Amino acid sequence: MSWRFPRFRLRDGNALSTDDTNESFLESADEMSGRLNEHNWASGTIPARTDVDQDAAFVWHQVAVAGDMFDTGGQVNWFEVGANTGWVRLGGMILTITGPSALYWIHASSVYQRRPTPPHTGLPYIKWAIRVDGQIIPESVVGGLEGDFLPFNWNASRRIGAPIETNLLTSISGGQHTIEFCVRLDSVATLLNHLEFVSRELICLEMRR
Amino acid sequence: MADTRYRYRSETLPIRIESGKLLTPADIGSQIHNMYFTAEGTLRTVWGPAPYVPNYGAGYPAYNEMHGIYHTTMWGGTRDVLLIQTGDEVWIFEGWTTGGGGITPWRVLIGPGASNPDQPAQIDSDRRPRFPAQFETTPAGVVIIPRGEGSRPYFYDGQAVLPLGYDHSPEPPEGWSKDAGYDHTAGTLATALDPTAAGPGIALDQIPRGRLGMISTDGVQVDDTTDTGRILEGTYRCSVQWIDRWGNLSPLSSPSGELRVTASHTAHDITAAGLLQFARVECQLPEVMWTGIPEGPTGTIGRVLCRTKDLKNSGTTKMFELPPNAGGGTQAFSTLPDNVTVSFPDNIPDSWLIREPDEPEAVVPFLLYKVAFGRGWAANFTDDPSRLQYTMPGRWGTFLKENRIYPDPSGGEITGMFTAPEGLLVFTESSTFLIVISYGGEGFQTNTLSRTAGCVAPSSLAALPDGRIIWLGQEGFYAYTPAEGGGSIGVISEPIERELRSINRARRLQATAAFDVKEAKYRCWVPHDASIQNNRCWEYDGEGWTRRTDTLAADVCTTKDHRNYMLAAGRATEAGPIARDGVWVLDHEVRSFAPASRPSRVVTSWLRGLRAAAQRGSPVTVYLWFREMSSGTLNVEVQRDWRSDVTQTASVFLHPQDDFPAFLGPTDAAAADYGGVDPDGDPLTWERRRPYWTRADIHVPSAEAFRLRITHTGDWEFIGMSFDEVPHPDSFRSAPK
Repeated sequence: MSWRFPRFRLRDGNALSTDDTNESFLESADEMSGRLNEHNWASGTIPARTDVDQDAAFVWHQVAVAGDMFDTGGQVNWFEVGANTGWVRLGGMILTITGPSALYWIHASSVYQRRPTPPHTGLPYIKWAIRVDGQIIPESVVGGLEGDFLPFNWNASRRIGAPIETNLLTSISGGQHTIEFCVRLDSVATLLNHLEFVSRELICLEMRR
Repeated sequence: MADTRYRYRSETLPIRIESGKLLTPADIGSQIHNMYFTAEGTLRTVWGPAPYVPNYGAGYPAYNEMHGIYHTTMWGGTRDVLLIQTGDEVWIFEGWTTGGGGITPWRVLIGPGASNPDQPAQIDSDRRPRFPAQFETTPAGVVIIPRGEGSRPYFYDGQAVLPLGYDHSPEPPEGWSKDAGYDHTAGTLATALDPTAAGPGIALDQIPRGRLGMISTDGVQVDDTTDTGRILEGTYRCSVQWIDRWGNLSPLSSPSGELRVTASHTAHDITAAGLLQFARVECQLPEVMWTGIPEGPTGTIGRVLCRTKDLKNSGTTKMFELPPNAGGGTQAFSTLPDNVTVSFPDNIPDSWLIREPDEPEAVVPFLLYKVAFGRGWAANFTDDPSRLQYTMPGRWGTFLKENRIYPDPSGGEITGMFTAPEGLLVFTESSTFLIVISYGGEGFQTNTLSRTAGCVAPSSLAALPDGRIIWLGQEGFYAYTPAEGGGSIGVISEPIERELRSINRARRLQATAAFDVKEAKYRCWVPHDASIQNNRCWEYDGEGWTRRTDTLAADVCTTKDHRNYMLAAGRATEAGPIARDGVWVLDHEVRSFAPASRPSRVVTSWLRGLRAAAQRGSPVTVYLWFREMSSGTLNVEVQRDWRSDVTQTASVFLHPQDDFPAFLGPTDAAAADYGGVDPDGDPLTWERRRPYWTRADIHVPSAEAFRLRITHTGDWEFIGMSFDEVPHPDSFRSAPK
């Protein structure tokens, strides 16, 4: 309700007037039947929005899974991606964000290896990308068979971990959105039928202004 | 006793406006003071003002001398913004913090560090003649130009306040590069890439590669695998540009020192197996690193890196924006979308450099700012008062070097700007110009509207609903009437020209005006009679002028929301009397603040009956048409024969005598009490206040002319008057006395 002021002040001796009284009263009556507004509510005082200050410039969203690539036991937190299964979201790599229209700076990273199955000789034709609201964003797709993306000494019979990383800067409309970190593995299955993804992390920096 | 057969009665004179001329129509007054024009067509006493922030018991907020006020809404009308400048500080109103004590519900937005402001600044407010604080709404926020010696423009978006644009450029970065080509020592690179070591290995030309540098293939045979060309020696330079949260760009930094790429040729390595391996020359292109990238001032959200192409071989020395590595390409808003990173690995080939950077100037403080054509227009720069400069579209604090205009060829200081339907009106003290889009389609051009009519007070500019724009100039108030291709300018204050002579010319630049929506009047406060404060308000309804003195307004505005209040920042006097600085709601009155008693007045022009125009006459009766207002009386003073002496004072009732209205309160013996009965014993009923006639017998024998001064310090409402006059052609008087 806005700050409103009576129009007239009735003084002793004034002639009583319906017009003056109504005009003064309407100043308040307008607001009583109107909406509450910024005059009454401080920014961020609505309970549903207390999680994030409205004047926040940057909001940090993150999800991470830590695994031990030398874990020969339970292979805790490893995530297996089979060959030729299309785009697969890495385990736990999803963020659900609700906010105003903003610029999202999304970072996704992980490490993969061929363990624990016996060494394969096939080359991993692997790609990774960021998926927003179910849609793979082409600009974020990285990978392929180029030498840049192969782990060093891939064919050596050693334990090899290869890091992958991609990022994306994109404008997002207001509302709720899902951000996912996805990979796909295409290979000759008899030579390389899966990869194990170990530690992984998905970060979204919501830049509101 | 005069014979009533010789009486002549004048027409009813509905006096609504005033004139300082000696001879005026009878229905134009000599003075209409502290009376406002009601919706019913009457004149009623000015009410109020009311303090915008009441005294909740702990006193009023500690205002200093007021210098500016502005109201606007943002975010599609959901953010209400009321800004004032009081002393050295700019405050913002936060209506939800009423009970906090101190200056609540105000908060210091800009001010000295000791005031705990959002934006520390030394405004250095003083009492020298200056424009009031200037404000202008843009789609992204408000430009604030405080009033003071140390002022500079600021920008407030409803959440954050920062200096508008950048007033300095970044420092240049420093470049680093590896030598082009590889270490040829056997056992290092060669060993690592030995195809015989394990499995198929990776060919040398599959390793990650740089993209900078230029390759010459002169003399290379198509099928030659041992000589695939050579990298030419080249140099690069880099600059930095900041970008703030509203998209404003800083000037480019000076270029970095030259970064050298050494010449090289086809690589060959001796493998561990003793094989000679050749790699194509592209494998040896370098990438570089820019370090020492300066962080920007508060509000910076990104840095744009700009790099030359190979200065020795590309044939151009221009800078180009580097696209970011993360994404966005050339459409990204900056190379580094942060204000933290200090280094940037640069592997952007020359062929990706497409977009040349904008090259803004550092923002120099200025005094005036308006939005027009989707750009911000700044004028009256402290280092160049005659310069007009516009921003990039939508970047409200980014001024490109080439976007300068000097409207006045004689170099006159720009003293005002206002947006008209045809373009942007720009004023000097003695000239008026219209800025329009260039007939050529690019840029803007200046049309001269007047070489004699200018504006002396930028805050006196306001528009009427009929499209006219009004302002205070050297000769009085002017109006611009829009028309296709450029409108016309004319003086509209001729009737009050005599009164305007007493404007304090040394301080007329501080005049301030706004259009009152409810009364549909242009109101302009000016300093009169050597006052250093704006002590008189002139009101114009499109036809004539009236005056009021209820506040000393340093600045005024009309709220842009549904309330349409006219707010004044300045001084009002409380009963006592107690002079108080603050923010005032005009034309409203509350019980917690009783304004000091002040007169409201209607003074007629010098009157004569029509039939007696060429002779002396004796007005004998005046009939005054009021609306019933209160239980009291008011005085009617009579003057005669062009003299200021009051020859008679008559008293008339402010209510009809034969049919009393209901009055509030028990204090008047003649009035019935609220809640009681009328003199006939019938229950009181509330009515719209009724008009009535009253009369006063006056004694002005054989006068050439007479006039009435109807003055009252309470509430009253005037409708009109007429008078009876008896001609006295054979007067024994030879001259007026």
